[in-house]
Amino acid sequence: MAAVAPERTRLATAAGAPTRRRRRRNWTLAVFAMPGLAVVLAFHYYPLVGNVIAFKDYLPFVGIWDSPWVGWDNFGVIVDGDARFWNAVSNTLVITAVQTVFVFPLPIVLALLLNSLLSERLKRIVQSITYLPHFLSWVIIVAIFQTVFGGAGSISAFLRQHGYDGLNIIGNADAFIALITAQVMWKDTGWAAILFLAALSQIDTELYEASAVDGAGRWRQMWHVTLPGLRGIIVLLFILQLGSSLTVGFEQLILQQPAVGLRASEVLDTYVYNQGVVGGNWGEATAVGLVKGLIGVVLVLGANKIAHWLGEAGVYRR
Amino acid sequence: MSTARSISRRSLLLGGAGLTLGIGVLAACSTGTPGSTRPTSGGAGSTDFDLPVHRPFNGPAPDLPGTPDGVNPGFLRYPEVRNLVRTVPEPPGDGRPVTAMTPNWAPARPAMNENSFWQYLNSQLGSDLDVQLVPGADYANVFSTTVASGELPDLFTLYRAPRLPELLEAEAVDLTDHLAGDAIAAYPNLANIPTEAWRFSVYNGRIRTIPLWRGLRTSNVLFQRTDLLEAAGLPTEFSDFDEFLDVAREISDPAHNRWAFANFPMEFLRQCLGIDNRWTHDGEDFVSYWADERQADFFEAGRKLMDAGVVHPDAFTGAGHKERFMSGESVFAADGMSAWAAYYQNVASSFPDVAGTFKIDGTRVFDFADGYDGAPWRGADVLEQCGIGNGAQDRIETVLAVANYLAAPIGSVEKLASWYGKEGDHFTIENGEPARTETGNVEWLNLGLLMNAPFEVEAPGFPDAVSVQHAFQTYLNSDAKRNPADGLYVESLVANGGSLDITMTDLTNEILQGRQDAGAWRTAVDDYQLNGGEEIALELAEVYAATRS
Repeated sequence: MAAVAPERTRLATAAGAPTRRRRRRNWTLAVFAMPGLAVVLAFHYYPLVGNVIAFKDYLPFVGIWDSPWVGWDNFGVIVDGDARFWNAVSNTLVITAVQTVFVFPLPIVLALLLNSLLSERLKRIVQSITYLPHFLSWVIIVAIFQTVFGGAGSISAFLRQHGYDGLNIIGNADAFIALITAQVMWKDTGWAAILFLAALSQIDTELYEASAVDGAGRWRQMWHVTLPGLRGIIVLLFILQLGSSLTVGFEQLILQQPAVGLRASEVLDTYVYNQGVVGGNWGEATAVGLVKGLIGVVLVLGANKIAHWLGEAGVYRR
Repeated sequence: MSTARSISRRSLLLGGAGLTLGIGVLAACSTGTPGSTRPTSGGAGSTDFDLPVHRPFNGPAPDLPGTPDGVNPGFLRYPEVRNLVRTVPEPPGDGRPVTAMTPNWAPARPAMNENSFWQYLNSQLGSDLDVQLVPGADYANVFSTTVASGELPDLFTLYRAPRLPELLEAEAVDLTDHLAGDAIAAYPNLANIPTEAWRFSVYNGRIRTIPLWRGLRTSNVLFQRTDLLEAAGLPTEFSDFDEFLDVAREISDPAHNRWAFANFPMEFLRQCLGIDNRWTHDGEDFVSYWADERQADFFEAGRKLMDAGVVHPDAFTGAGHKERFMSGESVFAADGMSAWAAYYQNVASSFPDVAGTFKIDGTRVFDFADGYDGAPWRGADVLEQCGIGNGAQDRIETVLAVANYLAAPIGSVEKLASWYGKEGDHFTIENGEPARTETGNVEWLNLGLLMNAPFEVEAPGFPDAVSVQHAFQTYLNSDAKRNPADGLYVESLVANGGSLDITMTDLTNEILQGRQDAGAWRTAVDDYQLNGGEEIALELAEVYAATRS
């Protein structure tokens, strides 16, 4: 769909339709867009103004505008951050790298597997089961994992009853990244697969028939028909994910921090919370958030540029 | 917003354990200087007034008397409803609405126009009580944004925000002239608040809030399942750490999912070692308990407990200790004293097979070994405070009178009305005690954190929970150490204390769980001092000297 809209615009321009006429023709569409635009402006753009508190010593009872300016002071933590800050940065980067490598491809695999199921019924059942965990809040998921994998969880209890030592996965700092990655997989793989399934259904079946006639087996079909058909959406989602790569899940982590300690589990978001919000240090919290956001924008635009060089559509077509 | 949601979920999961990240309603308190009724808290300022005098309520006597210096009066049964005393002769309101804002930990309530309890309360007050019941975990955010909008309601529960003295000076009514000394007599239920409690309410030399006195109820306790210990033929009091460890070993049985400790008894061990309550104060200097030499002994003892396998494997997850304790999976659990009655109530509803025998007590602190002088710690007498927003300046007497109504104690007609509503509609008398009806349960507003009488101990149907708790409080009151920083408003403590403590607590957990060597502690203490601990100690000494001398 991203491919169609720009083309139409280009056609319209090519036809030389004056802007005024186009406007007259499309004003109903503009009216329909208004409420959505208002929401975006009110709840996404207007709050951005509040980011000025990154440069202020923000006091809630004085208000945003009357709080004193402090220049770049709040950014000090980033420039000469203490050991805990860099620990949080490195944990964030490791977690985001691991999750990009292991979590991102999983929904594609699931979508391909589901797509290869012949029984519509079975497909729908499996799909429902796999995407339902997405609707559980983190607190529930963490509790479920705790009852199964905790030091006194069902697995450990079973082992102990049979004379073995318990298996403490939840409280094991070395297993922490594996644990949270597994949680993310369990929670969101099914949900993320929906997009890929939709993209799969868009692939022309004639291509499969033609390749079958040419003697392609299932593997060759996947390699030469299915994956190329998904390439656009994969690149798009990958680029968008880069934008939030420094956000690796606040709730999920803060809930599980006490069990494994800060060395293993402190990430940027929880650092900001523990350092900034607990002490009411809103300015510093905002400064770190702002820098995170800027890095995200740079990553998205950079990756998009690379995608364009490689001839992909990226987030938008040039 | 996402932060707010996360906090709320975490708090739910933690079940309001000792960890109160982001939900701490103002925690400040006073060690008080006996004899003097001059205000001594909240920074320097004029002290040309006396703190409000204490005129105790003269109604039905509690079964177990309290003391103004800490022990909560205990009621084994609710006082006979026909003998209640009227403390407010006329409805205090002026017909205009009184606005209010307070955290609410109960389910949301029906709106005023569909809530007969609320309407009944309004009729008793003579003004609509337009109260916003904020979900407890969101209170910090709502308070901050309300402050930012510049319109605090007539009555509000104070939140421990940074720069509190300035905030109150800018946004809250100065109550000094209305309440100081004998002036408080005009509000008899406010005069029932012990004089010492008012020290918490003095900011920059003026009375800016009304304190909610909780007494010893704010202390932390190492609860023990007396029933399980007795059934196993084990002692319930211990002479030293070795005996304590032996008993813990004896009662633990991992093969059958039983570990002595539901969570790690951090404070209890430190108390047995004689470490001071957060700060050591020698009359001049403050030293943080993190820097106490005996922390090394704490880690040694802690590692012994861990190695003995008597601590629940999920002890450090910060959740579930209440359930482990109630089900009997564990025998000891560190928790707040206010959980005492709740344990009985929750066992009755969630663990009916245990309910018949369930019996708990607070574990008495012992001397760790020869040469140690163990002593328990006590919490601050006041946690919540009620402020009056500037908007109420022109009708301050009315708003204070409404507060006075809401501060009526057990034994008064007003407490029954504001807590239980109207007889027949919201409660009935069962076995001589009020019991809420279906409607009452759904509709009643818990305003206990907005305004309250000095807290009583009462647990309808569980007299044991009251009498054993009362005995434990009496024990604490004779012996327990106060935190000398309680009641002092120290900006650097509010700003940095929380995150510094997070670092130290985290290292404590790491060492206990064997992920870091106990040798790391000394370096961490140096870092702590360097990163703000020293500054806090200096400012504490300064504020203490300025206000207590």
